[in-house]
Amino acid sequence: MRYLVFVKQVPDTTLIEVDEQGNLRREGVPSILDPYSEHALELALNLRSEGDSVTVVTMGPPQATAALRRCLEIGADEAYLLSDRAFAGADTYATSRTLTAFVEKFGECPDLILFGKQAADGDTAQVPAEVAEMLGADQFYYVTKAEPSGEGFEVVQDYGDEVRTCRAPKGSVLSVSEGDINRRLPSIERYLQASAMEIKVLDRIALGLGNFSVGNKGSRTKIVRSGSVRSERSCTVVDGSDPAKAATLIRGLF
Amino acid sequence: MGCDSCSSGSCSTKPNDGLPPGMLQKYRLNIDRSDGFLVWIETERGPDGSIRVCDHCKELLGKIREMDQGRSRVWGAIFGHLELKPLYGELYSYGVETLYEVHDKALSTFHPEAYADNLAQIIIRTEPAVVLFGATPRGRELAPRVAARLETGLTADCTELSLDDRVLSMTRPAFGGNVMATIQSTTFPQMATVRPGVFPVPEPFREGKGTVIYWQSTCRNLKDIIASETKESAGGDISRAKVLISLGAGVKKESIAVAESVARKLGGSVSCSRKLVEKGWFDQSHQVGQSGRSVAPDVYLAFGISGAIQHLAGISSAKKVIAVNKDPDARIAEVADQLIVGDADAILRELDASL
Amino acid sequence: MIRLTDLPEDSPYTIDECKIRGRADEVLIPVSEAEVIEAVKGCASITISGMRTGMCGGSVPYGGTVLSMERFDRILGVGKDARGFFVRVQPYVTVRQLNDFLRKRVFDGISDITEGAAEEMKSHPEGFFYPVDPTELNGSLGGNIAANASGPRTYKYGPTRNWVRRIRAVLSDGSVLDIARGDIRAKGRTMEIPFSDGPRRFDLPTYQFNTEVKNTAGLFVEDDMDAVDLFVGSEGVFGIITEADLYVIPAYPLISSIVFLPNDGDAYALSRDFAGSGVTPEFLEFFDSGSLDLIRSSRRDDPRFTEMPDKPDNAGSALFFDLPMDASLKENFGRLEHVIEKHGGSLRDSWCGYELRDRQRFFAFRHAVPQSIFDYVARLKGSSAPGINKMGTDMSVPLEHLDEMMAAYDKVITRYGLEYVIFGHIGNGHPHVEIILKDMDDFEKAKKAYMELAAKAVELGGSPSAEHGIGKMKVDYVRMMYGDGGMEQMRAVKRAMDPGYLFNPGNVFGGEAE
Repeated sequence: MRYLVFVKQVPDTTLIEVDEQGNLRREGVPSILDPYSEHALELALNLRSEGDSVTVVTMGPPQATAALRRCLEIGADEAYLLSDRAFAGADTYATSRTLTAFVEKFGECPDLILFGKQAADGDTAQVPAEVAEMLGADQFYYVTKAEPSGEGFEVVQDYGDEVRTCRAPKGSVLSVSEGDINRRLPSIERYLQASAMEIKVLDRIALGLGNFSVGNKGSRTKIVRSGSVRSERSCTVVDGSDPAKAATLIRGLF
Repeated sequence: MGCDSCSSGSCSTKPNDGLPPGMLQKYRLNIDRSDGFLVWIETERGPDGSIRVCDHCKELLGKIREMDQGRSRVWGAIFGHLELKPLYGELYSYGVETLYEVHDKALSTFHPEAYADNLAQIIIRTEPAVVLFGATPRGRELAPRVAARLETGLTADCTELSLDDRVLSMTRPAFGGNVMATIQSTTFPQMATVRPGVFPVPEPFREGKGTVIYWQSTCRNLKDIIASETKESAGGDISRAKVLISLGAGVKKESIAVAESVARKLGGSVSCSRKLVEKGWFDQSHQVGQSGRSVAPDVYLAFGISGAIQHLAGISSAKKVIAVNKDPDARIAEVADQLIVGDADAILRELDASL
Repeated sequence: MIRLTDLPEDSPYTIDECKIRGRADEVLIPVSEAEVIEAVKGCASITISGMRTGMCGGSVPYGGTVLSMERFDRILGVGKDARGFFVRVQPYVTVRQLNDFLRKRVFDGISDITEGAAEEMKSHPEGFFYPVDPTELNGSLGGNIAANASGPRTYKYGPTRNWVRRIRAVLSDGSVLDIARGDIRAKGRTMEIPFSDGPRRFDLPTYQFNTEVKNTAGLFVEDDMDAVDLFVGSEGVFGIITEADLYVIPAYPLISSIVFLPNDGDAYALSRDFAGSGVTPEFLEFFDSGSLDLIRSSRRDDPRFTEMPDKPDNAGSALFFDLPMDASLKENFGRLEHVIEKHGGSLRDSWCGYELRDRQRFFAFRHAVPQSIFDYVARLKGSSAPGINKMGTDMSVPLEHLDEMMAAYDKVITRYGLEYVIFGHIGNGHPHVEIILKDMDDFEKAKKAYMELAAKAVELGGSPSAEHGIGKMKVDYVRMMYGDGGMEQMRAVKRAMDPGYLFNPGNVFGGEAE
């Protein structure tokens, strides 16, 4: 089986702070492999058996190789970086077209395509469904489990109010929910191996995409305004050392 | 050099729609003609098994009414079969003029591919300027599939909408609600998923009369569902609760039962931070925050939640936030109306006893 | 000044991490140096209090006033001198706070002590760090200086003493001493410190302070010593630090690794061979089979107990170390491969990680050992484990005697019928041996075992208190090292500096009454 995992590099949002004016302080905040991507990769690595392969792909600037390197360290077999100045400013639609082009040109009919359920920075959760639609593939969101079954896979999805088990044909797109995992750590041996592995870089031309299909120009949405808003709440701090008084205070709100 | 695929050369001054001249896609809607609103009507089963319209659909219909003042047409699209009949009157009264019912027994169950297929066709038929979904698990899965089919833009999890002529501005928060981005679509229809609970549920404002159109589904791409279990989450759906008692890592496990008792007495639900899901104390459906649910209660009572930015992202639509924490510098103060510095477990117990 | 009286039984101001409960008449919280001076002039007995993370009761008051420095929590400025960059801090700033500041470098309200220092620090791509890494990051820097704190990275960077540029302290007569390194030096073993009534001259103890091993037992002395060093490690018996300059160095990326080995002996041997391999890690930490078993069983109850993958089942011990991620990393791993294989391990049986969040997991794993002891005792005792449940040793010996010391730990503790686990700073010949206490009976036995082991450590040329200091709990070991004569010489210094025994009575050399 061939497993294709789309991953993303994001700033470590747990370290981002907000200053008095409401601006994001990104100084000294490292970029990491998106934790949600990691869950998707984890699922793929667990599915992989003898003779299978796991390929990781990301779209991003050259620095995003660091995220791919991390994937190789924890077990991916092969990594591609889709990188081109023209890809900048892509919304989910343009991103999905770029990723779809990769699957069509280089994917060699993957048996399963996996995404994290969202990205820690963008948080739209739209790309998996858009890619699935563009590929004409079936989509499975909120996947908590997947295992090979017959010709395809059996997947478990958790919609919050419903847990369903479906048969997923080969070639399906999965959006993977967080599982309860401890992040893998590579051995020193694997770390050294991975640092010697090649990360293949593909640009717009290699993917056969026109200028108008990618990045800002290929996007279907535009940001017209973006700004920090100071939260209107002015927090009053109250002494709660007496639980009974504090409880009365809370009860007074109802 | 002028443009030779149109006589006026206006294509070069048109807003950037991302396509070179002559490459208009088969589904591209006519921007001049597109008008009105289409809402995907999501349904759910009540505790007694009866079907009902999700509240967020009424919220969306109310918001449309507020923005457009009844000038343009409003369509609903709903999937299912005979069980939907009792809902018509209510939907009309909230502003749906024409209801497209994809009339198919099999589609009483959510099938994203088939739903998207039919919705796209209905949209091509009706040519709305705006298509809205609730940012629910299903809405957020379905909407991007439809948008990709129509090759149009989509904005996720919006908390504010505004209309200027037919142009929709969609605002969504990022990073704990500290940054708000306002987004417009460069293509029609303009699509968005909207966070449940941010707009009020309106009073019915229209006579309960309208038209239903039965739509025959031609899509046979149904999922092969082996098993489906309804999950009874103890306190109901937290994204709709009006009062949330939310627990974080700063409380003891014993306090869960106390919080549930308080929630019962106040008519609310219990939710939690990610830490408690990780500890296995709560199911993920109770988790508030970026990787959990966004909530919009009237009152959000946070006990022992320090307020990671991912958590704050989920409560930016709460109307009132009261935090109880032993740390006066806890980050949750950034979004709280009131921070009570004290022992969360003890205060919770007292609160329970006093109610 | 804030004054708290009628302290409740469970007041946080009368206890520290040794869990011994003291008592105090009042707590004073000064907000300025002037108020500190006011307190010094108005009080009869002052126990100086920071974050109270000490392990030996140094900040536990035995009566009198607790002077909490909690309002002295600001980073004041940055500067640069011939040695490098330094940060000026108030004593209540924590190690974590300092390192966060050095990583983010937001200079709002931070003044330039030397011109352009802030700008220059800001332009440094990787940021900076404070190289002393006491494992307790919530400790206050004032406390760190007073205790001459060290930690795993002492292996490479030495203890706090090496990083103090300047201190400002309020003395027992209410005068303020503001000295940088080099300002005041002893002549031989005679020191002179200016007080408001003129200079006071006194003799320093004549003993040889052991600097061959990590050592915090007794007052630090050496010929021609710097007066700054009199205060560093003095456990607050000479004055109240109100400001300090600490050197910091540019940060560089690190990779953390844990290598698993078949048994404890292999880890001792490997830690000795590490030095000979030509690779200098930032630190070298050790987990024995007992620690690994405890973590394993805690994880059975709670898979998220440590956010680490499952350990290899055959792992009998482990070494934990950091290496700089530079051009020579591959070569260094190559060198280590030989010694690791020589002692029965391999680069395959290992973990490594370099992202901040992964490195944090490694350190959390290191911290999991004490917690798992708590869990273990809790399981034995029932649902909770109140009171004391372990006794940690803090003895260092020269590396060549490490095997002998390890054998002694096993022999003595087992003879008393007690259980123990070993982890910690093996690279400095300073592993922590944690004796597990299931009841008060065990506690009595452990105290006896400890005394025997401390004597053994001293005999082998080591220290009975490598990094935790003396406080009020280990005064006996100081006497063991220096004899009554040495104790008296130390008291003589105290009498000169603080004749009224105003500051931190009971610390280091007990009370005057002794």
